[in-house]
Amino acid sequence: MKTIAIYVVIVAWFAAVVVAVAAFGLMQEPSMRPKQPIEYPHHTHVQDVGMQCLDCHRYAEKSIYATIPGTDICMGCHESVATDKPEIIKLTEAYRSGKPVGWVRVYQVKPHVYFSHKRHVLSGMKCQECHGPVEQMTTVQRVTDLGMGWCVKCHRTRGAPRECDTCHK
Amino acid sequence: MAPVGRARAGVILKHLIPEEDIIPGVSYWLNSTCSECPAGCGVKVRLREGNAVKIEGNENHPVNHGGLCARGQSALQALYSPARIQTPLRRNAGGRMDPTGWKDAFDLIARSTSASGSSEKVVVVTSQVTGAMRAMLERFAAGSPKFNFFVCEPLDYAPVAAANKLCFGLEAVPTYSFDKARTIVSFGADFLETWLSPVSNAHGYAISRNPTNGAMSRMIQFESYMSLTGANADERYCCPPGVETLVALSIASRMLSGTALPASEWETWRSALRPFTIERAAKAAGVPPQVLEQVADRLRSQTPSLALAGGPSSHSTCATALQVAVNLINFSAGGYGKTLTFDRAEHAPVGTYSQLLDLVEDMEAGRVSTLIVHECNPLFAFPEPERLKTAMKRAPLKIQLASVRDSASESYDIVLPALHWLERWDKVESRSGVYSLQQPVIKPWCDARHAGQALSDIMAVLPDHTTRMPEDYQQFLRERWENIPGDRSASEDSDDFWKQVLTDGGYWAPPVSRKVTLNARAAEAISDFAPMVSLSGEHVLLPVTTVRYGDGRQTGRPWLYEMPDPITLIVWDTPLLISLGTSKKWNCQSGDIVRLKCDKGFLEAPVYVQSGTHDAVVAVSLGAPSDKYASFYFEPANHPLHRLRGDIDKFSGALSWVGTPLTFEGVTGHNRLARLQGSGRQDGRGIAQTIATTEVGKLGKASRRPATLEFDLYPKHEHPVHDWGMVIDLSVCIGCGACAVACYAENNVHVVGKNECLRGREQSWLRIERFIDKGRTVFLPALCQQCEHAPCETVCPVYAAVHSSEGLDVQVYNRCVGTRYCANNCPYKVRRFNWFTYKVDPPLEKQFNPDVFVRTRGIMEKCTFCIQRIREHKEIAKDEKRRLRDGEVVPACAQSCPTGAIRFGDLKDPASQVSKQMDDPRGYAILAELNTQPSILYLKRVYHADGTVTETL
Repeated sequence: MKTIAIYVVIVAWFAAVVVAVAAFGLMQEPSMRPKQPIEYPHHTHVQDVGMQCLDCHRYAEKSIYATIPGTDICMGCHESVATDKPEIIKLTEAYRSGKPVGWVRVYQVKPHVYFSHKRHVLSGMKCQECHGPVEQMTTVQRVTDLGMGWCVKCHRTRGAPRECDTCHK
Repeated sequence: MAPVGRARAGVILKHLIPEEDIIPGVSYWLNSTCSECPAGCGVKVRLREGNAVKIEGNENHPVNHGGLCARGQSALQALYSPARIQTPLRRNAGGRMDPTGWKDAFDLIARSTSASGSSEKVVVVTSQVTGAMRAMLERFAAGSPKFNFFVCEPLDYAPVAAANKLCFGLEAVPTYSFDKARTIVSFGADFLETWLSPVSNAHGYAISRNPTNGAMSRMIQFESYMSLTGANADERYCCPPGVETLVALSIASRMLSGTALPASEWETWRSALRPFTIERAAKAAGVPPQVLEQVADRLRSQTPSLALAGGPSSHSTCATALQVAVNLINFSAGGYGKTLTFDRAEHAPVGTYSQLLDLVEDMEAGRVSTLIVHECNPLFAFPEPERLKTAMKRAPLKIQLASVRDSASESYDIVLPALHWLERWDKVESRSGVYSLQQPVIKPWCDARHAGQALSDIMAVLPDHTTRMPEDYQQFLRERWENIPGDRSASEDSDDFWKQVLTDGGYWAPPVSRKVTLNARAAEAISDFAPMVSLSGEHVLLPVTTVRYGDGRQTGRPWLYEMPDPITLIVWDTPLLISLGTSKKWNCQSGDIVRLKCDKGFLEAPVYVQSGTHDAVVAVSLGAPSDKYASFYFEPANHPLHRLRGDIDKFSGALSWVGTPLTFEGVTGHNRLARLQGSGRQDGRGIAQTIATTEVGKLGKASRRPATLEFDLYPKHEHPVHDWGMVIDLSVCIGCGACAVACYAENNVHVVGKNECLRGREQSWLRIERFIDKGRTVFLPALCQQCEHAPCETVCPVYAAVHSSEGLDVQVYNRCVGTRYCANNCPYKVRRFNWFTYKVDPPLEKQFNPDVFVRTRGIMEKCTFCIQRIREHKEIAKDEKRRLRDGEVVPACAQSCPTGAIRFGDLKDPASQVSKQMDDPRGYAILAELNTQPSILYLKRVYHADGTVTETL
């Protein structure tokens, strides 16, 4: 009886460790669909207004970063458009205070990875091939884990370089 | 996000790239001018996302030609120093420093000064300032007899200027052209380390060392401790400190006979030089008389020749006599106009020690009401700190204006934060006619002001000083840029002119030709004197300046702590350097803490036995590591300048650094010194190789990546596009360590601390090793050899060390599990393991290169040939739809090298410079017998067969 109790305790201990590690891992993993400080509906801007990705993510074909626009870009229109909506009021406040909006990153490659938006966009790839149908999303949702296998799969089919030092820095 | 300052800039002071064109994720380079020492090298600063991440030399600049020393590069660690003064501080009633605002600080200044009488002086003590700042201070001084400014530099070159005034009527320091010299004779001048303009000197020196045309220069050094310059010399003679003067005078005396001078003047010189015979000098210096005769003859026959004097042991009471002797030698050898000219004068005049003494007397007498100290530390350089402290207490108001806290910041009433030189606009003129630009590269992150603006604001609140102010320093500066004397291009089209200034990093006015004639009245500076040290066993203190800490201001920079001193190869500490003879006499070993008595107390520090140190010398480097990042830091028990007797050279007023006798009192403890190289012996492995000048022509063709086995188990690597290789010319590597620091900066290499270094866990990807081969010192940059047949790759169990198609041994960090098999199997010992996740104190991490991963615990790392730079330029070439050009990709080490010893390029391209150099007959690969087939080829160091030899490190 005593031995069984010891076994139970040991098993329970390991189970607890496994659960704790898993929970910790999940906490570390960024949410696929994080809550943003300002609800920004991509679908309204793309489908209703007819804007293009590069209108706001203006450096995607010039830099390694696509970049998230500053509030000054938003205010180019929202100075006069939909100024009474609660989310736009939040935006206007942020613009006036000069503080950047604390957007939560949805996509982020690991720090040891070199990834250039410019190289991918200039090679003729569509933004949606990695980011999914953003133009239909109300809140942006991550559609991939950005894992190495996912990268390599595409590099292989397209005949892109697959040497370690292509992406690892 | 972007470089700023233009919001406040007017018509002309604006950047080349408008802020709206700055793209995050893209690198930008902005030109500026280094202010880490008065040499004023041109620099360019790499910016990413609004942070300054790298400083490099500006190739267009006439001073440094693209190289940059370790101290200059470390400026980034001062810019982002945790010890930056972030807000104005004022002393409260309890003596502590409280943060305050600029307005309150100025109110306090106005209140404190209105109480004091109007007849008292306002004195600004500043580090070397040139160009616009100097013009402003001169304008203040001209406008009011009560305003004084004093330039305080521990390395003052006053004897050089004084001797030139006596000899030629020009109170100036000439520019030295080492590139044209075939014979270089240096009396103690450490011209490759700190003397005058070290990067400029090293650049010229390397040109003169070209071994291929059969006319490699010969460098002869007389000195009393082992300097980096001395280690590079073809002939090095170790003499007691101060005896250099005697040697120079005797050589001048011998050369006088053939000098073209009017008979009367000739006679004046001859009678003045009569006591200085070769025999007497040779006896005092401990060298055979033939040596000195030969040096004198060489100076005349192997022309153009160059003689120079400087360095610590020339700071004696006969300093001007030494410089006069050198002038006479250069004049006799016909060097003026060839190897040294006054067309561009170097190093604007600074205050001398005797002037500083006058100032101290003024303070003691209560004649100074306000003391403003700008970016310098008079307490550091003054031999009687207690006296100066007491004198400073008599001044009712003491203000410090500095960017980084220093060891004396506690002794001021008000501390005002100044912009770092990388945060401000300015005009610098380190050589006359060389107008260098300083521009802000980052947004200031402290509540700091431009020192010029702050000074003029302080002046504005002082009583009786309100009328002559340039109220806006920016406006004043703009006028200085618009009105460059003697040149009209500035006023004609200021927009084009300004664009050119921004592109080049400054404006170089044509040199003004100045001929010199020797004045025999200078002979008065030569008087008979006794050698500084008798050889009977007494020891004297010799403060020395090194590549690492310079004159002491560059303390507080972690990169420099972890950079091994090129001579002792010790990191962090600055021990007392003694000779083997002294250590036997004192019965002590390296690391033992000794207690030495002198007139003014004690010196207590660990010793290090360094060969090449004179038996009579205890040499101590200025500066010491500080855990608080303070500049001008020293350990109070170990500060050599505070033990000096305060003797003065009467002709120049300079402080004598030589002549403080020391008495040994005993060993008091032990301090393990972290020396990063175990031995300088090569045990026949031929790591560092040398060859005599006469043998160079007899060499056969070198083979690149020599394979020593006919049969190989592994398949050959293919290199379809690029094949990167490097050639390191040991003949021009002077061991200055600029490359090592450049590597730290470029690759986010961690600084691990002395204790980790003692355990052999230093992280440097590139180290300078020092070896002796055939009695010649060789400096050897050791880095990953990027072997074609790499021992590290074959043992990695997880395939983290792999070979790329471009010939690189790449390390895949996230695949590495830290077995360390690779490091154990590497014969070159260049792989580094992260035993911990090393942290840096914020905001130093802002300097990190975003293109390089910051390694964490458990990862192996090593030199990558700056793969991020290769990638960057491949991307640029791809955008421009062209092939990579030769010389386009330059690793950080090769870029920083003042002498161009490191060349990098594509071996696949037969026309590339590195491909051609690979065929140099002097080439050899290190440990080639192991069949590693390295991508780095070293070129043997060429030596003069009849030079001096040294047996030990």
